[in-house]
Amino acid sequence: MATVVLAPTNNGSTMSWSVLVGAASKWEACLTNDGDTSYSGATWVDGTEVLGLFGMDNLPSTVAKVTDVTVTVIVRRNNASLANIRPALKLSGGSVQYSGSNFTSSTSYVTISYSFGSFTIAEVNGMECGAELGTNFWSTFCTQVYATVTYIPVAVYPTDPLVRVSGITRTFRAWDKTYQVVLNLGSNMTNYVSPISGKIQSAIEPAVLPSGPGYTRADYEKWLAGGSALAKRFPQIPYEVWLKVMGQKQAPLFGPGY
Amino acid sequence: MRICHTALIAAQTNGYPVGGYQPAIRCIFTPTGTATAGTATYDYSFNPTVLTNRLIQAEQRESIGDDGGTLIISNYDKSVPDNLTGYYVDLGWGLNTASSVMWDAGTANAVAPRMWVMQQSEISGGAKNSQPQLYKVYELGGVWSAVLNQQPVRIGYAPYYQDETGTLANQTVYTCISLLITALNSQTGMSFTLDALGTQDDGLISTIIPFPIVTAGSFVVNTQYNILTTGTTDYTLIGGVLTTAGAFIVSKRYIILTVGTTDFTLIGATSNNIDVIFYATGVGAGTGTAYEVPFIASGVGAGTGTAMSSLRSLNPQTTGQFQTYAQFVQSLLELTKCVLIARAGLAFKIVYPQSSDAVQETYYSSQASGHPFYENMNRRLNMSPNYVEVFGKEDASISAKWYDTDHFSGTAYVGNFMPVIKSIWEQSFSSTGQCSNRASAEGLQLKQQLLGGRVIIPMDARVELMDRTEMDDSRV
Repeated sequence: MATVVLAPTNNGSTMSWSVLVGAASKWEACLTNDGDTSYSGATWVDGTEVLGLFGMDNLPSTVAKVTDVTVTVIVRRNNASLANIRPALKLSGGSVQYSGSNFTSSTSYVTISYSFGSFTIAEVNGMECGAELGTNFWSTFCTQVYATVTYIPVAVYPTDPLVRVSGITRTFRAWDKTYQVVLNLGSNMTNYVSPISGKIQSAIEPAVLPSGPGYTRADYEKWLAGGSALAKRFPQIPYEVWLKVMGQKQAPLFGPGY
Repeated sequence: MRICHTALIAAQTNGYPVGGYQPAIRCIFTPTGTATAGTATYDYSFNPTVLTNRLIQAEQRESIGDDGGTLIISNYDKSVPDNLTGYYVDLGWGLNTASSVMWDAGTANAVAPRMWVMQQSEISGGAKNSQPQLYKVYELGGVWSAVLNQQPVRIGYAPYYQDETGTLANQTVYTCISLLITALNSQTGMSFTLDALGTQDDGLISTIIPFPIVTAGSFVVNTQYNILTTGTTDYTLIGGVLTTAGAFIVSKRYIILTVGTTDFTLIGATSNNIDVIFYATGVGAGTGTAYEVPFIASGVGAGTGTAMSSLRSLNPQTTGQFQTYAQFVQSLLELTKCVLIARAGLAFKIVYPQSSDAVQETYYSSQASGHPFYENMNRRLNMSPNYVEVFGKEDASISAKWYDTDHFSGTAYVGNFMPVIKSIWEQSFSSTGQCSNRASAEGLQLKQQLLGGRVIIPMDARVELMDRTEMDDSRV
């Protein structure tokens, strides 16, 4: 497991905080834990709790799977009276998720965190993080918001930078649509047939001239007269179509029945 | 790595137009010999945009020091020529792309190293009343298997070709390889080239002189030399053998010291001059004298005579068999940390793997991230051997060792396995420094072989041998 900390990059889809001190924008005020040097926050508004969300950094490309997202806010009250402060997270197109109640009356900055669980990489890259700040007749200030993402990293191979390509086998097979490369690295020099993905199918069915004269009109006429179920069902099937049905990609250009 | 056209790279990653691949393989049979230059070529390329393809199967295998391939072509109308052995094929591993079919050596840069038809077969089969199956199967040999592993090194005079004229004398390993390729071209009529060393210099390949010219006074005792010039040196005092006409041994190699009354041209020499080297075709007559060219120094010598260390491939232990260019080049590269690879267009390149090298191709478990891989396997070997000892001189009186730090702390074994030694005896080495360089080069090569892997990917025309690739696996 590894972790990465994501910081705000912009004000999110909801930003109802009214306080801004020491920075050009609210998200910039909440980048670092610098106390009252720069902060944002909310003043009392009719006893309601005020939501502020920030757009966050994207995950690095080394993340294979996210196992947890924990949102942390560092906040204080400007009066020693209790207020409910709840870290919040909103996925793109989703509704806002909140932590449980976190009442605090501290006038010094305190750290409040909440684990929101696992999400997909795309969800994390589109998420917004912040907090709902209770005010309770006074103000609540926030000096930092961040998300700690715990993840399983992408496995990078080979682990030794000196390991190089020691063998290359390029294969094309028209008859089973294989078009691939097998690379041997380092000491691996053995030929190999994979049980998992020994071949890769191409998008089209490669067209190759048949070997030999192939089916002829005489064969076609025999087929028509043969009384097979297919012949009875499609008695007027054209010769060219019949060739395709028989797996022959192109009518032969010569032959006794042509 | 080959720098391919952007449209080809896009098609390799995403398919054409999207979601799949349309293989395009350039396959043109061209006569190799200069006498047949300009004569007919036979194009059996696979073009996914047409319905007239004959190419059923193509395979090209490259590894360090070996290469080859197989082609299977439909011969349904028996129009494929009876004999294409000796023709060469520069397979282009391309695709149909948004910018048309990309498979050539120019725009697409999708062509792999050259191969030659070394064997062909005809197959006729098919069940009763079924569509007949008529194929031509071509077994191909690449630059290594068809050329370097076949052609004997012929530098110097017949019949022994021991570089009697000192072509490789006092040259670095890199220059020696370059000169060998020049000799190969002269021998075959081909136009192989060697890329400039550039950043691939390991500090050994450009400095080690495998066949140094040594002046008397500096001969290393117990080392074998070939006399190049007699000068004022009395070689008989340091192991040389001086023979007078009448006692020459047929087929032995001599260098003239004094002409006297002997007509050396009657017994194999090109002229009657001092320092002319010849293979005796008779016992000779008269008062002329000559040294046997090879000698093992019993002293450092004195005077102005010069000699060259014997070609390692042609020392007394291997006289009578000619080494191929591949063997010779390999023995030279063993002195370094470098590898020689064949590239498209008859080019060779020296590669010195370095940790600081940038990743050249990255393959991903998710196609959305880039060129995908379908399967990736990694393997680690137990390191055995885990230390190297190299002896030098004829009497193995000097040596140096290299220890793998994962198994040894200094000279004490601290690993999980047991000490396993690889011993090498290089009789031409005359200093512990040479032994030390060889030991560390050998150790590095062993270390590079510790990890192995295999990855299966959709066609990628870019990748070459010794490329540094990376697989990013986000599967969890």
